[in-house]
Amino acid sequence: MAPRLSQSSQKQDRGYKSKPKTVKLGTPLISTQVQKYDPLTAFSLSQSGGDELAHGGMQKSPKGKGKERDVGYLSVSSPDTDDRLWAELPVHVRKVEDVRRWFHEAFEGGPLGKLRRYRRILVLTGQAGTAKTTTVRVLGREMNFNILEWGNSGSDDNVNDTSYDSYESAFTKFETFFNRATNCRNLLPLVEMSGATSSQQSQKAQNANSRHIVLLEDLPNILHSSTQARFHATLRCLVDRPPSDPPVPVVIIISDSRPRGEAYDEHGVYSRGRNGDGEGVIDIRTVIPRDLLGGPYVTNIGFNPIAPTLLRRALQTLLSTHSSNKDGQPSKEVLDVVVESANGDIRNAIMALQFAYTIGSRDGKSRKRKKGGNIPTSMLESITRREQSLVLFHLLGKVLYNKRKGDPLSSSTSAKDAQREKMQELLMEDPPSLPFWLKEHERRASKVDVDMLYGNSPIDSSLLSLYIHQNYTQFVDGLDECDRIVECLSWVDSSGGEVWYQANPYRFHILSMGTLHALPSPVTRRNQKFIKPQFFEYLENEKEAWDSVHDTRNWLAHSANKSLDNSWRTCSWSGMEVALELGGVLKALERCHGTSRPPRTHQRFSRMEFQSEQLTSQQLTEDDVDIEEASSQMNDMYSGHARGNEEISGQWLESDEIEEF
Amino acid sequence: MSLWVDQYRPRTLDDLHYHKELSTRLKSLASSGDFPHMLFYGPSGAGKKTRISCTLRQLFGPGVEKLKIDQRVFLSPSKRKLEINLVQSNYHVEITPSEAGNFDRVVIQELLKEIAQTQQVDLNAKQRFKVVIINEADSLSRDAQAALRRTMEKYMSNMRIILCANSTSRLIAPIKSRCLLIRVAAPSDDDMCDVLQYVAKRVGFDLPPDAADKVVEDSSGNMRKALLILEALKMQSPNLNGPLSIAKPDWEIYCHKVADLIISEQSPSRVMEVRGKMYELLSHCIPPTVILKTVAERVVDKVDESLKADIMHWAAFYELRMRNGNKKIYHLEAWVVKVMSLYKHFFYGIDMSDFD
Amino acid sequence: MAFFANSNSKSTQKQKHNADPALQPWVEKYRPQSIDDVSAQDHTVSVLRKTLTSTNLPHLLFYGPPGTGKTSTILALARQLFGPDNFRSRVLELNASDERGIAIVREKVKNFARQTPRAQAVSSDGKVYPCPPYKIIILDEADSMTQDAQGALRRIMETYARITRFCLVCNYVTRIIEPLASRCSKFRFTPLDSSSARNRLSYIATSENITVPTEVIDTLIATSSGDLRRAITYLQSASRLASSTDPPTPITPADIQEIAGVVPDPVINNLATVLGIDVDIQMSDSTKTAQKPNSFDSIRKRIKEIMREGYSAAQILSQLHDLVVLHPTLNGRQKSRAALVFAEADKALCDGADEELWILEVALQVYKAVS
Repeated sequence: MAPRLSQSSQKQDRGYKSKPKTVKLGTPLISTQVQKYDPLTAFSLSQSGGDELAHGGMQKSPKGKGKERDVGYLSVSSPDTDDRLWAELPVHVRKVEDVRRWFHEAFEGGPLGKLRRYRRILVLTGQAGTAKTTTVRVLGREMNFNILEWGNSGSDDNVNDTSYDSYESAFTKFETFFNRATNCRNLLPLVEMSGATSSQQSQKAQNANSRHIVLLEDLPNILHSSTQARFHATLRCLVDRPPSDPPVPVVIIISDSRPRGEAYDEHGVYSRGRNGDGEGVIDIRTVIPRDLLGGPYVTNIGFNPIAPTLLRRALQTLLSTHSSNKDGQPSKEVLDVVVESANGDIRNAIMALQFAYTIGSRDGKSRKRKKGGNIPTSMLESITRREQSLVLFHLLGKVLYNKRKGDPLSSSTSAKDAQREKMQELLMEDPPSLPFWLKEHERRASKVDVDMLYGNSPIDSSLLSLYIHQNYTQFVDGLDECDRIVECLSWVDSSGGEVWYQANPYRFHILSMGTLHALPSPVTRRNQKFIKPQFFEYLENEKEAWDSVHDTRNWLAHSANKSLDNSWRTCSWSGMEVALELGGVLKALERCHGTSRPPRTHQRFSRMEFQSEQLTSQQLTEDDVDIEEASSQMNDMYSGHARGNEEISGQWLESDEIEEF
Repeated sequence: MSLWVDQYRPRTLDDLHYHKELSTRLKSLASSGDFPHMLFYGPSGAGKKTRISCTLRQLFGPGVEKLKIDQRVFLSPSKRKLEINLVQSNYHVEITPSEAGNFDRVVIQELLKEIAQTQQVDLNAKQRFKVVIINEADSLSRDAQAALRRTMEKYMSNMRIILCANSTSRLIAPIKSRCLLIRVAAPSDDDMCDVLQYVAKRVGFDLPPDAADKVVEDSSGNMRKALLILEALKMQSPNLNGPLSIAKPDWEIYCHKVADLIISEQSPSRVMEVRGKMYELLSHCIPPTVILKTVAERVVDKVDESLKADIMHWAAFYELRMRNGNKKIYHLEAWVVKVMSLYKHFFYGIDMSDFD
Repeated sequence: MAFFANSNSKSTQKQKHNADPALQPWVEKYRPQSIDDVSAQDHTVSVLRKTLTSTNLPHLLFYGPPGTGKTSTILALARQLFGPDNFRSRVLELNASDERGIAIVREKVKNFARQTPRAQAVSSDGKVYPCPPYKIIILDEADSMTQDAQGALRRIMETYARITRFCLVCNYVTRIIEPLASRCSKFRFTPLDSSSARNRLSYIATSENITVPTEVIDTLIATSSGDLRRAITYLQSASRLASSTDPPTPITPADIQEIAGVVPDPVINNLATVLGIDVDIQMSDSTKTAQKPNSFDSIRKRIKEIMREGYSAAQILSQLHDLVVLHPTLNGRQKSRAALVFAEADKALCDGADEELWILEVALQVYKAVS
């Protein structure tokens, strides 16, 4: 299909906003779409991001339209002031500022006017639904630039497409689009003609209007190696050219896919390098060629999951703006559930909310004020991801609370429940008593049916072991119990062979029974909270650290190549040697301002600060304070990175000046 | 800029500073015309790769130093693309097959076949064969080793293989029996001092003997580590006289602090805290075995004599588990808990017999 | 295939692109030419000699430790059956661990068995060979074939039974599935006794014109523990090293030990002393007084030193094992406790565990066991 020019509305012509703007770029557009840019609905409109990456060349416009219909009832009213707009964008202010500064530098060239040359490609990464695209669109409105977006074609477009007589590969089309978009100036008049902005507009408006960015969200199939090579070549080619006037920065949006914590994940990391099993993933490393990633032309800004407070505020604003009658509105509890279950994914949250709203309003009519807009919890749970996590919650609770026959009942149990418990216990048989040499293993009969657990478990044994591992310390009283549980974890993990079909089929049972056996009975209640495994975070960090080890190794080889005749044997550093032994030198190098610096990322493996108290772990249930703290910490970290980039580019600037003067 | 380790690496067999006898042997082998497949083994930082490259130079002359770094793409059986870095000259190719992870067999087979089937084109070449250097040979999978064994027999006429490994234990017997084993022991402390002094002279500064001794002591037989420490030291405090404090790498200090954590308190909440630290270490690319060993060494130094053997026993035990298992953290933690409980029981004087 | 080129190179020198025979591994160069040349294995040889006269060969299964002459025997037998001319067309050697899938094996066997052999009694070298009307397929390392592949092989054996004979060569007969093993006549190859190994080695030494002192041969036999291939390889390496120096130096037992990767005896003895094992009864008086606090730290220090020398852990383990097990004064209980540790450590090392940790573990446990 044709490259599509979607235009962000501008201050000047807000009046015309509802009119479709068609731009002809090479090929006639089959489907144009009206896009209204409200930060909130834009989420539903811009579904493309992660989803479309996953589904390959899914056609974009119908989907987008569908979404538009979906949100129809929340018919969009555009925010009237910019303040309002920013208030609604649920992204951390600092993050937005980072992006805004980048755009500013890309168009204006920063304080010295020279940064323009280095602000060529911006990569936005983060989980799905963290407002990456929306930030760009909103900024587009604020800073007055048009967004040229690429969409992969569906097959039907090819059929209708008569302007091409011969078949052209999808990638060639992309290339054409990309090259034209990034330096084609004759786009300008086109935009103006079709854009219904008359030529009597002021010079300023013209200027503003002439700004474009290229947004790549729906990438060509990077997983195909030759396409990847061509894509890389295209990017390199872009960077090699001096920026066109006016500059056309390129924004690439990459949604993360997270590791699932299965055995091969860790193996992938350990096989040292991107050739491990984790190859089939689109991440920044596969999209951007390695040499560019370390270079000055590419800036990477990562987006964090949206903090619950921001998310709630956004949803509330959405509700208050778009529904007039208080009746049909989902209650606060519903909102809470939605926020909590969305996991920082605003797209998901809005969809859930919309669902809740439709059901709620219907209910509201039939039952008239009896329960307000309340929805049965079960319904709500099936809408949100709550249900899933509840089952997991139950599973962990069963295993870790280790209820056995004859446990004292907690004070809160009602008499009826107590009665029922009693009856059940009567039905349970006591296990035969053990001979004296096994006395230490004698336990009262367990109330947990492991087979049942296994049947109902929503997760596999590997994930279960991670959860148990993360949480068991809260439930034990002493080290001996710790010892038994962790020994069991260790044993289960190392039992079985190297290949999946040799895996021990009883892992789940051994794991849960071993844990039950080891835990004290009864478990002391001390207000334990289930925590999410830190494992995934660690895996990601490790992967990144390995990447930077590779970068450092390359840097070693290259810097040696440049300065000496003897490139001889310098490349023989193994990754392990770099990680273990190079730390001291790297640190010293950084301090002494030499001519050639190691890649900044080396800190990922060479720096370790020991903090005696630490860790805000993410809890499995509601506890927003923690997450906020964590995310603000993350923010600090990221702004640290941004500063790092600054310094690097500063350095480049210097060398530039030497060149020029 | 280039690191001293790389810059002042000896380039001919005559330049080598220690293991003179080995050097003469290699020299005579290289000039005898009857050059076998070889397997260099020894601890890391002992100078295996340096000796290999010197031998190559002896074999082929300075032409072998004209290197280019290539990236070659291999296809795995499932048609997945594997990118491998190759360092090569006209006379030799160097690969690290472990970069290909599970698919090292494919890389070995394809590459060796290709090299073996091309004859030496350079008529001036001193030898009729090409040399293939295989780094980290001990991490080759069994499959790859079997494939290698075959190729070693098949293509003897125009190819020689030099393997480089830390230890021979993980290599299958047929490979060992097809190679001439060359053991490269770590340099003695005196040897290392000499090398440090030599490098200092080349760079152009005076290295006080005390400083040299200190560096040597800290690097426990690893020449590369010693030179890196020296370079870092020099950069930090250009004046090497007077009291020096050699900064250990961050991860090592971190490991020591973890050990202190283990000793100072034994409780489930401390287990939790140590776990966080372990995760942190792991995510900085520190291999779990190294973590375990470093922490264990430190713990052992600080506990009562009667506990030491047991602590090391469990370290060995869980290290093996780690090899077989998937999630390293479990095994590290299991060891930590074991040590804590040993330590605690020791202090409370409880009978230890059931821990044996 | 390189193998054929090599083994034929002696008789048919003119043909093929073969390498200089001087560079050829002696293991190939001195493969027995007839089954009578096969060292030791008298029982097997006498049975096989009968098949030579009757020319009817059953399927064969050779098993035994490496380097005992299994492959050599079947090759020699085939050579005597077919003569140099027909050898190529009649014998197929497949390496089971190399050509994995059974599909490949089947394909190769099919292609190979397609042409029915034509008998041709008088060979180019003027001798008469029995040349029976079947082909021989040698499956080396058959025990590394998967169960499935072995099952499929059963079928193949039946299909081509009329014109082919299979010879399975493996180390462990227990890894061959029963239906397959029962179709073959089994021959067990025993490790070589030292006198036949000695004969063979000195024969090679004389043919190669090198002087090899008897103590070197003793060391060769000791380090190779019945594996003749290893002994010959070591000998070749040693002679290569010795002759390449200028002027050529004689081969010494120390050379052999170094080539074989053997840890020198003093190192092992020293370690044993630290572990509290009396190594030399005469010396014990002096060492006993010198060494006393055999504490953890001195053991650890010793292990660190050894590891710095780069010796292979597996080798240290096996030598320490020999020393302990053959020790004259340790009692049975001590030895068996030590043996348990050795077994465990061996498994760990096979699984790729960290060498230093495990050698230290072995040392500590042995120390505990003997004290």
